[in-house]
Amino acid sequence: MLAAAAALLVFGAFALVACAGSSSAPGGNTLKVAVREGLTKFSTYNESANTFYGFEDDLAKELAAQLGYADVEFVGVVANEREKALDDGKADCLIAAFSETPDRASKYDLSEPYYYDNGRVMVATSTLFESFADLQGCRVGTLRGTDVSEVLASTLARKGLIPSTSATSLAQFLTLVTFESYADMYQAVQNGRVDALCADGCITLPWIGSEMKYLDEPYSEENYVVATPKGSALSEKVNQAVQTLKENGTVQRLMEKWDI
Amino acid sequence: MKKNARTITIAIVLALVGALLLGLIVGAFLDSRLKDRQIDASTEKLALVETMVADMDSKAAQLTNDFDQIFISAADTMALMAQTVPSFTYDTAQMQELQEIVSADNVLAINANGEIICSANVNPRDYTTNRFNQLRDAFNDTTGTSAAPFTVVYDDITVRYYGAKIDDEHMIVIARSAEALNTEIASAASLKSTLSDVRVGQNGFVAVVSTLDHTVEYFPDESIVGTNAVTHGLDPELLEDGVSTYLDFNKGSYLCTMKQIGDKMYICAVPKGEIVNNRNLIVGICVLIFVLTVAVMIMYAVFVRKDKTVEAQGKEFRKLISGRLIAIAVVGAILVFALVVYCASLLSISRQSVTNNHRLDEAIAELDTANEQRDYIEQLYNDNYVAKAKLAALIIGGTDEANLTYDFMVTLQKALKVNKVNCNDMDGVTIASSDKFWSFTLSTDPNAQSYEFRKILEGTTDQIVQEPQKEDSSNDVVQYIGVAIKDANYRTTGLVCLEVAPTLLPKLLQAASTADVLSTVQPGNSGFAFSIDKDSKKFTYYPNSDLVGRLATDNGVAETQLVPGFNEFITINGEQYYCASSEYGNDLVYIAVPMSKLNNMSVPVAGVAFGFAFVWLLLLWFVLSAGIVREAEAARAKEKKRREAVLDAIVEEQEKLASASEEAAEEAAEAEGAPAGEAAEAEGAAVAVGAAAAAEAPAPEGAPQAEAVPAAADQQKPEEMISVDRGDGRRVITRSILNRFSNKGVPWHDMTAGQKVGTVVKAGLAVVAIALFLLIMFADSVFGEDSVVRYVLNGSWEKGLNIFALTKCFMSIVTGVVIAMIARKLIDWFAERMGAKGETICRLLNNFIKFGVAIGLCYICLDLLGVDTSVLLTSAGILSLVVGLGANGLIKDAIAGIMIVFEGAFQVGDIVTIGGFRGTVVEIGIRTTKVKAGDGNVKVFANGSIGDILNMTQDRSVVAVDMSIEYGEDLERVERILEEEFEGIRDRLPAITEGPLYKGVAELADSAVIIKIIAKCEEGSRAQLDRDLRRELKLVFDKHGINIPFPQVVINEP
Repeated sequence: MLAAAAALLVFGAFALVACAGSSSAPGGNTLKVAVREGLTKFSTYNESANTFYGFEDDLAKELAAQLGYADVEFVGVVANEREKALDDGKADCLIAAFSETPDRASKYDLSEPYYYDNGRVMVATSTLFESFADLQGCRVGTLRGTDVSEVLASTLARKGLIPSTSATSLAQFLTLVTFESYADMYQAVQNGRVDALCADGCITLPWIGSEMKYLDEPYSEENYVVATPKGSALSEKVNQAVQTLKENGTVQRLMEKWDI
Repeated sequence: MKKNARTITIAIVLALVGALLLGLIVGAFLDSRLKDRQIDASTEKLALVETMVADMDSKAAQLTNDFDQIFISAADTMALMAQTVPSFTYDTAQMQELQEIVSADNVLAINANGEIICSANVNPRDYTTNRFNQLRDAFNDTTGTSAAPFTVVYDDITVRYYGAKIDDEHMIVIARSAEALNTEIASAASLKSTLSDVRVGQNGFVAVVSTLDHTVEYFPDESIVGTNAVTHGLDPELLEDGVSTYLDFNKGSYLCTMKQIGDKMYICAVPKGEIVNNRNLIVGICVLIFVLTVAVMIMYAVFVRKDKTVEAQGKEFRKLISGRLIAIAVVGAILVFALVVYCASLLSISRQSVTNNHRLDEAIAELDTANEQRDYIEQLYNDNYVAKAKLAALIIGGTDEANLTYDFMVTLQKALKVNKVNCNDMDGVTIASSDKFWSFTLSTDPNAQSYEFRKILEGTTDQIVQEPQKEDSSNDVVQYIGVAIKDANYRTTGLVCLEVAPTLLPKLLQAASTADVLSTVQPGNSGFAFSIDKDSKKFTYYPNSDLVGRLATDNGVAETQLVPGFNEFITINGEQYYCASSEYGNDLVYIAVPMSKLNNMSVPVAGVAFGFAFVWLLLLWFVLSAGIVREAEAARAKEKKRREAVLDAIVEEQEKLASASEEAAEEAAEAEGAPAGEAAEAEGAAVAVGAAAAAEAPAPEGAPQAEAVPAAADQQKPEEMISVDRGDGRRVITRSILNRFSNKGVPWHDMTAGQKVGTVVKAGLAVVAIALFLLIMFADSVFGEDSVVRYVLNGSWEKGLNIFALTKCFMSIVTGVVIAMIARKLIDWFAERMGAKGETICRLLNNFIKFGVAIGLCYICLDLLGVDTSVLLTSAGILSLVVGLGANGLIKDAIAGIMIVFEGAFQVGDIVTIGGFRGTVVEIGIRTTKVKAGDGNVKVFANGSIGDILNMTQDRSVVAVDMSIEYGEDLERVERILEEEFEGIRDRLPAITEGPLYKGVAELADSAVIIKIIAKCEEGSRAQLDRDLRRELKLVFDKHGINIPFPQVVINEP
């Protein structure tokens, strides 16, 4: 008799918890996260193991746990597909070296930054370039889908190298050339087809050596944020979660693990 | 029954638990030891790798620098040429001429903007781009006119650029493919060249993964290099500096120790299989021996319970059983220890031997590559010197003789970066030189060094490169290169001679020397390589440089060890190494691994296994012996009770009968009165007694029934098992002589417990032996090339007292024994089906095989152990003399035996009398013949002592009885009686096969007529039949009143 009552109580509690659990997870128990496929250390896709490895992948798992999800489903995207993934609803959120820009902030809900990087200009050592001034009349490569022109223009304007931050003003100072992949872009610098490239520090660092170097200053601050669709129920929770993860040292731990 | 089985069940459970625990404990111990040892080795190796990598980086930088110097100098010279030679023109032809001299991809002239003035190649690249700013920087450089070289990686080619300013408007650019340099660096100063010879353990290696993007920088399997490590299964979370752990990668599992150097992670990886297989094998052996020992112990306990003879031994019983069980336990534990040590040692040494040979092959291949490298470098340098000389020739040829001032020559010399530049005219006289003191005429003496350059003046050749030689005056090594100076019509107008100090060359050559190559060879287990010169027998290379140049034989290497293909132990300066050797050129190259590293695993593990096994077996022994004793005593008590119960029953019966007969007697007494009563009482008592007696009779039959039955059974067939006195008072059951010499076994039930266990063990060993035999025969197809078994069977180990020889001895013995066993079984089978002659030969063959195989195996084993057996066989030494004298009798017997069989004097089964002893021949052997008498005794004759043989096998055995009859007797009457009675006698005596027959009068003796009656029978029944027949005849004579006379003595009283 007593045993039956106890069992009923336990079952009831369990049911309550289950309900509570699912209610905090709007889309079900799996969080769908869009991540990069070929960004070394941040997020790479291992085909044979069918898994994603990287700082951002680990961060996604921690975030999901923090939000109360049981599982994470990764959706691999390339740089110019990132926004589309959110728009089409293929992912609930985006953790893909997505830097905070005013334009993006207006289109999506962006969380607090979880990683602070710089955008740098990389040149071949043999160009003997030192600073932005040397870039005059040069061809500068960028990756399609990364929005460099605005930020570059504002930096150059700040330095007084161009009159205004408009696109035409920038185009008069230098020529932006877009590439499909980082490898192509790098090769172009090697060959001399472009004189420089703009990319985030985390991407360019492996290339720096005797052949390649940075200009003396970065052209931008790149704060990577978690993006969610505008007005999504997750947004506030995601922001909270990122804050918590930063405060409790999880982010720092992951950064040290991935050596970034 | 239940209680009896309980002990055995407990024992079995205990045994299984023990085996499991043993496996786990030994496995865990081994695991941790192997792992620790591997981690230590790996850490050591990584520290070494760190220094090698640092060297490698500086080497690469130096190689690049050396390469660069060549072309920087060339560019400078070209610039000088453009500046000073009036005939220098900025056109394609001129560029092409220069391009050809220095073997560049392109030579061109550009202006300060990078626009091309002229170019050797048709489609030059765009030099105006920012990529080439560094080239054009030469225009701005105030400290020098050379541009710093840099590399551009195009899609299909990698090019290095050199530039030198001619004037403000012109600059010369040399574009040279960096393939040669990159190849050079790859083969001499790359991760691959550094790490490909680095080994850990047996098959471990060092892999390198970038910590930045997880690219595989180096891996033994080259197809993986350059790809992302994560795609091959590496979990990047596990990459951590200073950590040792198991990692999965590229479909393999490895024990890895990691060290981060710069931005690369160096991973010392040993295949998991290497560690696990070793462990599994040793654990397997431990557990197997343990289980076998336990099985034998339990088997013995089971058989003991059923063994009747044991019951009879009472108090002795307990000691005996315990004693035997503990003996088995101790033997088992010792076997565990010995076999673990043996197997571990064998495995590790044989694996090391195979590895050594692999490393040796790799080292030799490296030396070959290095040789090729040397040739290439020499060629490269010579080409470059020629190029310099040619440029000089162009310059000098295009300059008026008047302008060939000393200063000019010095400028040229500096640009060329040579020791001296000299210019000779067609007579060989120096007309200009950069050296104040170098002014001589080319010699006309063919033996002089400078004579050779006359060939250029004669037009025989256009260039000469001499070998570097030591100057007589100084001790420097210098080299002379001469090139013809041509005019516009390509006619030789003079000679340019350069003196260079090839300092760079020896440096690079040294990098490819034997010593340098061998110093990079890093076989695992703290091994190293060294080399000894074949002729001088001195160390040409040794890691400890003190030994270089010393005599090898002074430092512990024996003369016999200075051979290629050597695979054995060498002691150098007190430390023992396991080595493999090969030859290379004039050197003997060795790989050596210190023994201390190889063997430190086996004894501790064996000790642990022994300790645990012994303790557990002791426990088992205690359980078994206590249990058995308890059971036996319980059984005895039970038996005792049963007997008592039976006796009680009998006594009861007796009393009942007694009271019944008393009643009867009383009644009778009452009926008949008193006098009859007594008689009746007596009768009754007699009846009672009789009844009691009758009742008692079955009782003794019932109780010792078990004993009576075997007694009866024994009388029917010859004794198989006899109880004998062992001399120290104890009785042991053993096989009778007949049983041993016949080929029959003993029936299972009659065996003692010990013999039963022995039989089972023997059968098991036979199975194992056959299995081993098959494995050995088919080793080539069953085992892989690197396996221990094949190595021991075919391998190139040295003969002598070492573990391989002992193992091969063991294998040979197993092979020999199995072959002998099969052969003998076949022959026995044959013998049963053949007649007597066949059986004789078969038995002889058996005997022969026994001896032959034993002697053959002896020979083989001695040979394997390094004893020179040919000497044994052929020498006239003392050994052969002693053996000869001692074998005298042996040989005599052997020859006699062979003669007996071939002559057919007698064969197995014949009835013979030899030296008075009569019996049936059981066996004719090599040395002895065995004859069995009628009463079962067997006499063993040495064949040589068999002199005269009386073979009585012509027919059946004959019993002859001589009967005496009186002289007065009617002979014919007796004969008739005998005729009538013979049939009756024959019926009564079944042993008679033919007869009885009357043979007539044998003798007319003093007192009687003796007649002979014979009967034929089997040899075995002859003795008894003799007596029986005599008895029958006596009875017949009695019956018919035939007197048998006997001498009578009449005494007369006076």
